[in-house]
Amino acid sequence: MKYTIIQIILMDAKNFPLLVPSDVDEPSYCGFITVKGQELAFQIKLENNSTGLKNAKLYGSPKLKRLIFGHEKALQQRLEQCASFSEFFVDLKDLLELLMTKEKTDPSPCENYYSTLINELNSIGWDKLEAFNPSLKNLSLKLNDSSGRQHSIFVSLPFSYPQTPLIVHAELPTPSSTTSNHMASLKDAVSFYSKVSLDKELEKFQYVWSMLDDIDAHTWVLEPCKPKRSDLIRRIALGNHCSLQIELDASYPKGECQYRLFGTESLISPLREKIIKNWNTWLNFDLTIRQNFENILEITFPSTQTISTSDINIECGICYSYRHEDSLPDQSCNNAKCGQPFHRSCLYEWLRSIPSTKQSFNTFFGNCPYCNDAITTTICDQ
Amino acid sequence: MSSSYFLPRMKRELEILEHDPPPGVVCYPVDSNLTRFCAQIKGPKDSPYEDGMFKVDVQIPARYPMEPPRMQFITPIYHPNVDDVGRICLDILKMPPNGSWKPSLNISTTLTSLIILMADPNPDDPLLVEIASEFKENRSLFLQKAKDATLKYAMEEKDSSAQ
Repeated sequence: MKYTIIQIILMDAKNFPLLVPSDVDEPSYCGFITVKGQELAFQIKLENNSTGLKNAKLYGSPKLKRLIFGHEKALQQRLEQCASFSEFFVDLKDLLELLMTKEKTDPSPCENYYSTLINELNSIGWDKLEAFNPSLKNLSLKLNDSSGRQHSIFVSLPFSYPQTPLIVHAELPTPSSTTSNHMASLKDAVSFYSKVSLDKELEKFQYVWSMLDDIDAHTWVLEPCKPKRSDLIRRIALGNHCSLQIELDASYPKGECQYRLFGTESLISPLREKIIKNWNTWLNFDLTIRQNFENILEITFPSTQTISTSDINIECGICYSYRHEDSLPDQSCNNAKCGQPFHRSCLYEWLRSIPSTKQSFNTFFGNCPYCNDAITTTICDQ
Repeated sequence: MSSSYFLPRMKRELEILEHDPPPGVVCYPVDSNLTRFCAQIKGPKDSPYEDGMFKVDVQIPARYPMEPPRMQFITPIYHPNVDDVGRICLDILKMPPNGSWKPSLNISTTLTSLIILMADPNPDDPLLVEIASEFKENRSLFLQKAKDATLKYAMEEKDSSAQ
C-alpha cells in the first residue's frame, strides 16, 4: 500500500507538487491545488485495500466547495472513472479554472449598493419604477413628456455603483441620443431626461411621434410588432396580402418620407401609379401622414383585425384544418406532452411519403411529425 | 390538380404569413392558385447581409405539405450554402432520409430557418466549396466579399419623394 502512495506522489510531483500522504494507516492525501495563482486545500480519501480510485472521496476547503457547488456529482463520477490521480487532477484543475473565470466576471455588488439604490428610489418616487430584473442590476423608469407621452429609460448599474457611474439610455429616434450616457445617480438621470431631453431636445420628435401614434391607432401595423419610441418604420396592411412600409425621418419630419410597397405586382402596380399621379396633392400639412397616404392611394387603411384564432390544438397538424372531407381529426400522438391531433388520411399520406415508415399488413409505423415519437396509423379507404 | 389537404393548409399558412410573419420577412402570394410566393428577407443584423433586401422565390409543390416548399434566392447572395443560381442547401428543404422536412414545418418556420442560415452559414455542408473554405480560413475576406455582394445586388432602391 505504501508503495502505491509513493508512486502516485512521484508521478504527480511534476504537476502537483503540493500533495502529501496525511495518514499512516489510511490511504489519504492532503494537499493544495494551484489554480490561477490561488492555492486551494483539499483532501482525497481512498477506500482501504484498493489501489485504484474507486470509491475515492474528495474533501475541500470552503472556497473549493463553493467553487464546485453544483458540479459535485459530475466530479465524483469523474473521480471514479479516472485511471490515475494525474488524470483526475488535470480534470479538476480545468474545471476549477473554468469556474474561477466564471466567478470573476460575476462579482458581488458593492457594500452599500442596495441601500444607495433603495434611498434613491425613495427620493425619485417608486411610481417611476417600471420594471427591474431580480438582481436589481437593470431597471427601467417611466417618465412622461410635455404632451403626456410615456417614455421608458433604461438604467444599468455596475456592481461598483455608487463609486462608478451608472449607464442610462433612452429609446430616441436619433442615433446620437440613443447612445448611452453615464450618470452619477438615478436622480441625475431622471432630472436629465425629464428636464433637458424630454422637454427641450425632444420637442422636435413630438411631431414624428404624433404621426406614428396616428398610424398605430388607425391602421393595422404588421411590423414592428411592439413598436418602440425609437422605431421610425411601420409596415401596415393594405389587404389582399399587400402592405405598405413607411419610414419617417426624425430630423426632417415634414420633409422626406420613404415608402415601399410589398405584394403581388398585379395588385401593387395600380397603387404605385396612383402615388405617382397624386403625389403633388400632398400639400396638406394639417392632415397626418396616414391621412395623406390614404388620399393619395384613394383607399382607407384596414384597421386591426382580430385573427380567428381557432384553437390550433384541435386542428390537424398536417392540413391545418378541423374538418377535412367530412372527417374530423380522429388520431392523435400518444406522447402526453405532444398530443397533436391528425386526420387519419393526412397522417397516412405523410407516413407513406417517407421511406423510413414501416408497414405491417394495413398498419403503418412511423414518427410523429411534431415530437418524433413513434406513431401508427391504418390504411384508409379513400 | 392539387390534393384535398392543399387548400385548407395554404389558407391557414397565408393567415400566418399575413398576421404573424417571421421578423424581417415579407411574404406574399404571386399567383392566384397559391403555388408561388415571393419572400423578401431583410439581411440579419450583425451579418454581412445587413441592410440588404433579399428576394426568395418560394414554390409550393402540389403534394405540399407532404413535400417541402422549393426555395431559391433571386437576389444574388455570397454565401457558402447558396449557389450561383440561388439554390439553397438546407436540410429542412429536402425530403427524408436525406433531408428533414416534416409537415409540422411551414413556410413561415422555413423562412425563419433561412434567416438563421444567412446569419450563421454552415461551412461543413457547403454548396460552394471555395466560399466555405474561405469562410473557415479567411473570415475577413469572406465578410468583405459578402458585404460587397450585398451592396451590389441587395440594396433595392426605396421609393421616396418629398412630402
